[in-house]
Amino acid sequence: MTKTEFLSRLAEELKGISAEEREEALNYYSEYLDEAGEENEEAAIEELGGPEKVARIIRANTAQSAQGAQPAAPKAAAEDPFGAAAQPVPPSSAYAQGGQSAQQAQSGPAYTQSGPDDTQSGPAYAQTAPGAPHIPYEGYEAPRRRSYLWLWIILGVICIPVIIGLLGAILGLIGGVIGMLASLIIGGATAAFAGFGLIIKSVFLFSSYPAGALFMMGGGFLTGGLGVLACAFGIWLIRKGVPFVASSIRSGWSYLKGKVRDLRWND
Amino acid sequence: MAFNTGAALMDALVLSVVSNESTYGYKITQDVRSVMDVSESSLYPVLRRLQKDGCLETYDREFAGRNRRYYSITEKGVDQLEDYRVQWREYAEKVDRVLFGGIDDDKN
Repeated sequence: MTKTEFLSRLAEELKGISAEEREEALNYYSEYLDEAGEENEEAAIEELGGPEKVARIIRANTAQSAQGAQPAAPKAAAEDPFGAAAQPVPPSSAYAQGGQSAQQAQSGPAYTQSGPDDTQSGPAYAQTAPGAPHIPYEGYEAPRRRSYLWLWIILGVICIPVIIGLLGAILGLIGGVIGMLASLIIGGATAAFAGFGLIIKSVFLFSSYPAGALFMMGGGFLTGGLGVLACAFGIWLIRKGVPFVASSIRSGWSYLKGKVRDLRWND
Repeated sequence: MAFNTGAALMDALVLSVVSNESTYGYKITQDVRSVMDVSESSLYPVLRRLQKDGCLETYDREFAGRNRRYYSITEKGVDQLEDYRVQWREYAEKVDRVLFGGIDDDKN
């Protein structure tokens, strides 16, 4: 692979990071290969481990600092700067040559790896000091989630008038429903009493004005019947409606929560 | 080398190499690799990070008709290096004590 080839493939691999970081890295490696000298170019590229590996290490590290894990790492490092005490070392054969690969597999590939075979070098030195979170290679997904949060906040601010309007509508609706139910029950009860009163009054009038009394009695039955019906209907509505509304709100809420959770994980 | 080495040692070595004289990426890589078995490609992120943290700064010089970016240590970098040196000394002494004289400490 020539220098030009290496750099163009590296540029390709680094498309995910900021233009500034990409530029820096490309300049560095361009100079680096110049220093190695034309006759050693091939060997130097070989030793770097190919553009994919170089890019992976750069990405892992730019992600690390963007993620804000960076401030935590040096702190942990300050407590135990050389990291060795914190290495989860397998009890046996840790330092035996044969055990080395196992050891590295457990503690994450460290700087000590340099062969072209270490395809999993990921965050080469996200060494696990105590308290420092282990940052997986894919860690650079996280910053995107933070920017989504901002988007949501901005969206929320923009939507405030709509939200206030919606809240007003909901309150109005609730008030309307309560008013309707109250008028059904109270009005129905009043009508029932009035009808009952009319019936009683018509009984006393029967002897003097039979026809008028009959008319009055009919009216009384009609009013009373309608009143009882309205009252019963109102009570029935409350008894059936309140649990239904409550369970609808509950299930609607948990549905919304589920949706929000899905959104978060799918980012 | 059988011994695993951490990120801080890498930082310490880079700072130390640069503190001797301002120098460029390829040279730093070679110098660090002379004592530590690290891959060539792991030096760049370290330099970049130290630069961002304000421990190193860069300047460009022309060399043989092309650009060469030199890294030099800042005051903050010097402090950091001093801190690393102290801590390394403590650490190395403790390791030495156990590796070469641990029986005296523990079982007597």
